[in-house]
Amino acid sequence: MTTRYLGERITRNEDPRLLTGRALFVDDLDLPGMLHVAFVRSIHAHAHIRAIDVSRARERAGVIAIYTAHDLGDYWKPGPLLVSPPPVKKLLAFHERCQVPLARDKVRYVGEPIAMIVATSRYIAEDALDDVVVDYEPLPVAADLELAIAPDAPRVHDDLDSNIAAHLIQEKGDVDAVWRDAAVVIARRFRYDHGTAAPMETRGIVAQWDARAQHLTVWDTTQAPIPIRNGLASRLGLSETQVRVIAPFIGGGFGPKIMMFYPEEMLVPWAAMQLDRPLKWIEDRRENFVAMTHEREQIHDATIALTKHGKILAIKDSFLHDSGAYIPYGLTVPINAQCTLLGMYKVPNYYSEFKAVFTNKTIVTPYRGAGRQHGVFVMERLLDLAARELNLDRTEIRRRNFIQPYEFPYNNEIIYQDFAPLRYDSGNYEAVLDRAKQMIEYDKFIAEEQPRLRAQGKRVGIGIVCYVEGTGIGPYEGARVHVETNSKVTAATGVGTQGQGHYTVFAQLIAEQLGVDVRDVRVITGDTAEFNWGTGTFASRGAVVAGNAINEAAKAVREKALKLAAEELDVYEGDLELVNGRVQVKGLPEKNIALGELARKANPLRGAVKPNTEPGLEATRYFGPQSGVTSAGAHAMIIEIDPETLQIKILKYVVVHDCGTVINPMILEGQVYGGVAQGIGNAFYEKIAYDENAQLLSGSFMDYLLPTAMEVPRVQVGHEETPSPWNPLGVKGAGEAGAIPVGPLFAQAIEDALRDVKNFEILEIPLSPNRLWELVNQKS
Amino acid sequence: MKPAPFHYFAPTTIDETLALIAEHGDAAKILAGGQSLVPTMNFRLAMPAVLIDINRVAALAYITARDDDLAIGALTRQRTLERDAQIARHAPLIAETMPFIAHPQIRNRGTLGGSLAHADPAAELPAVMIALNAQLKLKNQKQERVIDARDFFVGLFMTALEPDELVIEIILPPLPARASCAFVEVARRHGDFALAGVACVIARDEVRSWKFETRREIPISNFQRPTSINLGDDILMNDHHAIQLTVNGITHQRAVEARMLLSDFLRHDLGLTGTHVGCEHGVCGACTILFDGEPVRACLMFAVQADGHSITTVEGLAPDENHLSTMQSAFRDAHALQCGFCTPGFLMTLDAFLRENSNPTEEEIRLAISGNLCRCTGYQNIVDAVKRVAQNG
Repeated sequence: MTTRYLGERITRNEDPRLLTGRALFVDDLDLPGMLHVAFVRSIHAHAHIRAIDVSRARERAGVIAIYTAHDLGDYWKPGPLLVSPPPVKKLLAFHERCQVPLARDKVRYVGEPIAMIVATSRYIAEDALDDVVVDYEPLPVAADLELAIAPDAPRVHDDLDSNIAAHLIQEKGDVDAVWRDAAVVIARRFRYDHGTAAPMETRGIVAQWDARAQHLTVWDTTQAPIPIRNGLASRLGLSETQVRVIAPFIGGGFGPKIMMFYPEEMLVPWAAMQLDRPLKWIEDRRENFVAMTHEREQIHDATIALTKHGKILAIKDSFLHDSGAYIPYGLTVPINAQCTLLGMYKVPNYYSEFKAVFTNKTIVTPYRGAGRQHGVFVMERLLDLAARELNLDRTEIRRRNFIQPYEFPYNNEIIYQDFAPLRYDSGNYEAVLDRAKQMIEYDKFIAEEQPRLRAQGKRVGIGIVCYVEGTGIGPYEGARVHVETNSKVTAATGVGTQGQGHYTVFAQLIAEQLGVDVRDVRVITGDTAEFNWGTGTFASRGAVVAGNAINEAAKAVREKALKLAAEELDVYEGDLELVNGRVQVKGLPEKNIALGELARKANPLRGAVKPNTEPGLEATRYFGPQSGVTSAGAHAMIIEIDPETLQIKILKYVVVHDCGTVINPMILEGQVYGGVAQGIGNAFYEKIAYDENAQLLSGSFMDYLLPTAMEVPRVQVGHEETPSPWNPLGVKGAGEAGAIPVGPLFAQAIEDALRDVKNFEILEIPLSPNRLWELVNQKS
Repeated sequence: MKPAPFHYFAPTTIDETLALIAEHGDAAKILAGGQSLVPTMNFRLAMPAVLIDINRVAALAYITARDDDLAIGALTRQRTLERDAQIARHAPLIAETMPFIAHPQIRNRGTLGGSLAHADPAAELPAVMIALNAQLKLKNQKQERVIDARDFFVGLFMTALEPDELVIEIILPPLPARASCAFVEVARRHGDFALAGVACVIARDEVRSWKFETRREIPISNFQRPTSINLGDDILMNDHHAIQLTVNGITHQRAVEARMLLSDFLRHDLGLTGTHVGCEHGVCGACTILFDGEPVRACLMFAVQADGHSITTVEGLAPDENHLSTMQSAFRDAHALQCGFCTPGFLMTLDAFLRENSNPTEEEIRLAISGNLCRCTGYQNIVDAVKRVAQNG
């Protein structure tokens, strides 16, 4: 019997190393002669640098080198621009202004690096930070997103005539033509404030230059080792084969670890070469709050028009997106917001316009959800308000607007972040919503539970929201699958891993094709010496893009093995099967040959091979999807609010999720649980707070509140599976789903719970007890 | 985030301590539990030139009945207050309050006297002491005096303690007849500093309650540091101390700079990199280790403080990857880890927790791990892993 590996709850191959403290993280490296780096960072959000005096720091015992922008010479260069704007007709403006390695004449956000100190220990490097005297001339600050676009606002980039970084319009149908037919028109302003990914491991880089071998090795907490390798080689004047970038075990990424290049990523390898000494820089938590990219602030002015039956006629949305001080990641986040707003719904007419705005704040790049949160928040809130207006049930108004299963592939007629038209591959949205309703016992709660608990004086409410997630975008990933002579399998791919279980799910795909034990498959990710091509881990694409590449490579190896075995055993290929690391004749298992033996035969030491023979039981394949695939889901939650403190207790939380074929439900559920926890943090606990001078007020874990086990509830997950027709495995991405719809879910459930206290609207995220108190007590 | 250099003294008697305080005056800070001081030092918001570590003054750690009163040495750990039977009898309000103070890892180090001398307006113990009509015994080289808790706290982080004085004892009078007590607080998350709270003692003829509240918006992210006290850093950096400690059963002897954090020492001097560093201000719990068997945060201790002590790190839980401990196996089976960075901290916390409570409820498990942050798992599978271990005994 062949063992099935696909779809099974297989425990992870990577766990024993992690559990015993023996997995390598970047900060675990200790190389002989290693020096340590600390950065002098701006204390002002906006200031001219008049002078930098490093003389006292240079004298400090243990300080080896100090670099300012002027010491970098030709190496000082902004950028690069990581994602160029998509080919949209109405791209009215895009001003490429990218981060610089060290601020030269001007600082543009608190935490921007100004000088780099290399010392014999991190302790001494930090001592020397206090020795450096930066003469600042503080400038007026563009802190507030709305004020930053005013004509007289302080300009983040002096050479531009405003702080508008980009201006883009996408349209579908004719919004104005249907407006007069609308029975209901609802217009509101929605705000979604800053947050940060806060992975438990901060960023870090270790670089080692081997002068004799003329070879640079960089260990980097990046989600995209291959582009980092390519970029470093190009900037440092080396060939790509002279640079090896390794992303070892990474302590969580969630998006920001793919930003490239971070200033530190440019500088640490360069200085390692200058000094011919290994260098280590580990971001500390205080730095992480200002130096790792943020996400989230957008302000939407959105209007929805509906028929009296609750059918959407049109949506018009105009929004501001806070880009921070630079825009290296292009328009990915606002475009995700613009596209994901459409959700599961048929919106025949859509007009969406945004301005990305430079402010004197930390750079904004994707963080788990990457703009999708904002779009989903606006749409789900508009539907809630419309349902209230039309006296319709919240789930009914959604149901009436769903794209139907027979309508796929469904074309939304606008351009997505992958530059392709926003087309949905497949889905069954009503089934998802119905399942969520059933799991949370929606009807029973509304008809029986809520009235009963309300009668006892309890403020209980229910929320239920829907979302889609565009995942698995291109351009491509590749993989090499190699059977060793000991019958074990090694596979390598270019994406990096930050906890998603790639070592296991990719092994499952290979085990399924080759009939080997999952434990006998060693997966290597994130090492450019092992695989040369790829882009990185982002946009919930690991399982879809790298997964399909792995699957294709494993299939090719399988074919090779069958062909060779047929020759060796003198049978037809069709009579063979792969079981337990051997190829055997069906029904005659004693007639078999081990994969390792075939691997040996596939790599002969003497004799001749047939023309065009590729040696080894090995194959390399690539997978490049034409466009992304769209996952979908619904979250539902029952809460109780303390009417005095406005603190919230989550009584029940349900997620129904459809990401096509499930490779490993255990790992998928883990992704969902973790996403929900981040969503809860984002909705109710975490807030990056700036003052009017764009000074960060929430720069520690005492001020930026990550939810603990006491705040995150047990989550029940239900799976729907509509396989994607657009890739052989039928998979869709799942990494971000859990985090996306939690904001509107909180808003809806809180409104419901406080309905008989006050009829108020929640149009912003994040919330907090304080903010709720203000909302409840403000005059209507 | 590494602390600035300082001179380190570890006196073993009260007299020695008082002499050091007299000698160094304002330049010195007392290091008791260090759970507030060390984060502040790691942020370089505090840069004391001299640290007087009182953790080796055995005469400061005791709980003893004296007539009708209960006398508690200032160095008594908060965890001891939480568990002590005499305190539970004599002042149940304390036992009731303790679980609200941060997390077990913090309470294992934090001391009663330290919390009172720090006088954080958002802290629980000052309010509790006032509600209990406690008195503090303060001592300098010349004299000893006793002051009512009510008079001891004079403002935000301000006390009546003179620069040359040390809090040495807290005296708890008996509760009035048929008294009962209560403690409630509101915090954003469990274990956070309270936004508001009340400690209350009610007897037939008397109601004593003490409210406390705070609005904390102290930006500690600001890169502006206080200017350094220049006492000759080169000399300070040579403030090395020979230490001997046992880690995972192996005895090590090393010379360490006084300011070397225990987390850095374990990771980089001993090469035990399984202990991870996530925040260096004592919130995330990734660096949790067992210090004489009790979980503590390694980033809030100096290596020099570990002299003569015994430590267990995650590397000490299993001999190798093929022989996982019961809890490690349960973590794998329940998929209780994703990136795995926070995992060693959870394992260390849970190791101690299950020794204390082998059959916990879900609520107890969640409370026990609330001092460890995880950004990947949503905690659910961690809770389930603990349940598996508990069920299988």
